Amino acid sequence: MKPHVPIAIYLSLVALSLAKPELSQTVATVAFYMALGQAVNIFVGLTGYVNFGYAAFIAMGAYGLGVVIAYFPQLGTWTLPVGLLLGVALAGGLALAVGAVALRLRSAYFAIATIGINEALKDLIVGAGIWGGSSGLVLGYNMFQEYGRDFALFLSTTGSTVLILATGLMAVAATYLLQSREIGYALAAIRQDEDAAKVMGINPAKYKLIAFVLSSAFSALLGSAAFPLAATQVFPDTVFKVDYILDGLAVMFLGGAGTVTGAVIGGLLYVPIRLLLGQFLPAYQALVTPLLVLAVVLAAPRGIIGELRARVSPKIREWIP
Amino acid sequence: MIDLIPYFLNGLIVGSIYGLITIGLSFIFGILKVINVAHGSFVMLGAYIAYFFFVLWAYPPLVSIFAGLAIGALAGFALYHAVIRPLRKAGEMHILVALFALGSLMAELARIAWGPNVVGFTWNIGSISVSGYVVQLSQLLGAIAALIIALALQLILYRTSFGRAVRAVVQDPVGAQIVGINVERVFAISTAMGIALTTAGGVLLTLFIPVGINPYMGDPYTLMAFVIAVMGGLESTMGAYVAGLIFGEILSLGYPLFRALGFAAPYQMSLFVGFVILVLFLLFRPSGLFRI
Amino acid sequence: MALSVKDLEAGYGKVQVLFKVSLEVQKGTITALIGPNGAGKTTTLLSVMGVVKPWGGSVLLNGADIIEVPPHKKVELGVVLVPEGRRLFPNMTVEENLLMGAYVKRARRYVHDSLDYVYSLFPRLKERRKQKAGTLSGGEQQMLAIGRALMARPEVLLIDEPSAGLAPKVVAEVFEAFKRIKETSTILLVEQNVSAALAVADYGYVLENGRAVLSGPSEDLLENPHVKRAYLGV
Repeated sequence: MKPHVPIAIYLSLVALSLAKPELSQTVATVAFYMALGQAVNIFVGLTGYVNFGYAAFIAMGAYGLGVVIAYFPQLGTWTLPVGLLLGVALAGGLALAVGAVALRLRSAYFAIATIGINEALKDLIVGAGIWGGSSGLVLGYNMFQEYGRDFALFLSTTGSTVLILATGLMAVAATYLLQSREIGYALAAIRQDEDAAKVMGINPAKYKLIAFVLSSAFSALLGSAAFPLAATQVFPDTVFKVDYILDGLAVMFLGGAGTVTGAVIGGLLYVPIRLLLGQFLPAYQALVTPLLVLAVVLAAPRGIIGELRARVSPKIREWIP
Repeated sequence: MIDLIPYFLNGLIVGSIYGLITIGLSFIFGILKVINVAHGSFVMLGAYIAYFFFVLWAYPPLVSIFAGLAIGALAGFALYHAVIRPLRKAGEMHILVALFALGSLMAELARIAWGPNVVGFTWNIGSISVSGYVVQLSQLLGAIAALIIALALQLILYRTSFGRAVRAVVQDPVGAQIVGINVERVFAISTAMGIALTTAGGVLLTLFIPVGINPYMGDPYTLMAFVIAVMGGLESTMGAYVAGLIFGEILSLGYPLFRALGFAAPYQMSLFVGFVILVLFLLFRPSGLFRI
Repeated sequence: MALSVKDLEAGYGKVQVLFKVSLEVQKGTITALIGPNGAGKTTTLLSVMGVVKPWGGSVLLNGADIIEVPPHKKVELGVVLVPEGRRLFPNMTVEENLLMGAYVKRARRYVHDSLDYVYSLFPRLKERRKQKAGTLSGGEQQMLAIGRALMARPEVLLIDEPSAGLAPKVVAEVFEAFKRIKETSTILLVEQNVSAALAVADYGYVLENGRAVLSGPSEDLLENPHVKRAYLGV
């Protein structure tokens, strides 16, 4: 069964953000967490490895576009595609370099390596003062120059929202393809017993690497959309924040790790939960994410979709891949 | 020319604390093969224990270290039974994610309970002079206390029946079970001991951060402990201690060197070097500096 | 009856391996459990020990059901396993491994006697007592695994595939020791090497597809046409 439900949800959000630009901000927030969960799911959910340094890949996307806007104003409107590509290339290249060696390690070592890489990159940018160092990149003026006032404003509102939604859609498609093809069975085998998978002739490193690079590339697009485009600035302290991986894990686990639909449902629920708590118990809002992750992992590690799939008839199960 | 000797002395003293902070991480990993990604939050807990014992009852860290050990042991038991044991079957990913969330949860709870502000205290008992170089006596005593705790752990591991059981579990868990060792119990006690060492490290750390105690202080220590643990071989407790001394030197000597080289933020550059070392070790020498 | 197993059922995940297996092991004897690869011999031993959790049935030690007792407490009761793959502590010396064998309370008092006994049984272990277990030859490792189990002063000794990967001469040496061990402990022996096993055993069971299909005194089994054809290659 093709992922009709998640695609339909994404498409209706696209329609909503185009039809009602005043809702663009809300849609963007929901979509950001949905897509974040999906991107995290592609790697963590499908391989069982954890990338705690996830923020580094968001940061690569943010800096990729940010640096092009800040330092190559002569490119004009072309800064947008060039910057997006640069972000994806930086994140993908980093994932390729790190993954090629570190994904051979057992998952505990890999987790440590990723945390280290995130910190090392941040410390390098701040410590050596590159790409604006600790004071970051402020892009508003350049964006007006390069895109013109109206297009710049459009880009930072509807434009960034659509980019986030498009990233989410691509991530859904990627999850579906990764899961339903031969590679999906390979990944499932790796997740259950890596040594047995090797004996069966599966090359775990290769499949893990594909998932890792894809997940990182989507993260980069989210970084480009959320920071240089929407916020028109890139600060090392905000883009390298460890929180993103926790948010992504919360969305993924709430919806159901390793499923196609999970992150979409997780994102739709996660944002309102946070908003409601922020409204009524603002002091405790920060507790939500870690509590949610802990509770789901301990009590229902399969998440909403996983539990549903285990309970419903095969006919309905087809609809929620 | 910069006189590096005071930096070297400082690196050695603070390195002893880093070593102690890391031992708990290596100890737990060596036995349970679980990386405690919530590690730093237990360092934070230890720092607050030291703070409240000093501010409320005027007990210096050398006394409150016993409270740190006791509270840490209780927290470790709770951690094992509430999180690690239920998730052992679910797999490594679930344990890592749950611990990560727990670390964040502890920091947020600390913020709610003790406020978001940075607090601190100074326990001043004078200083001594080693051939013209001044060393704070409180810090020197803290470093010695950390060394004593590290050595005590070695005694437990190599001279007691529990220590033999621990080593047996590390070398072959099934073998340990069939000679009559209660492996579950070894896991629980080891987690308690590992966390106790970590909170004790947090207590002693307060001697070096007169204004640095806050709910989020743990994260950098999680990372530092990773770097040090990997350098030390990840499973070796004494390796962790020695690597702690080396890491203390990297941070301490790196600061004047990077400043002299004209870097914008020399401390961050030293940390960067630390993380580069971490990644290099993980990739090319996962067994650490000392093969055991 | 030192050990009696009744209607034991066990498996891994959803796959059932043992179907109502029953065995009787007489005190002071060696009972051999033979059968083809994958018949469930090792699973039987692991289920008796509790390393694999049985699905049903009972395991009686001197008449008391111990099926629910966790493995480490079974050792305390006197049921000790010499597992497949030996499961030694590779970074400990030979003597440290033996001392670990006497970890349980029932054995601690007799550590010195037990050590002398094991060294008299396997003099080679005494020669290598300061050597790391990981550096021993296969035969020496097997002797060490048996010696470590004996240190717990077992009432019932469960031995899994002791001949695996060993040269015939070494197998003979190890099996010779079983005759002496029998004087103090009851033995349940799982073996692929059927002729060697039945030569030393008093009684035997044949396990096929998770079911005990045949049993009898060793001499009878050696004459049994099915056993001859399937296991002795005659």
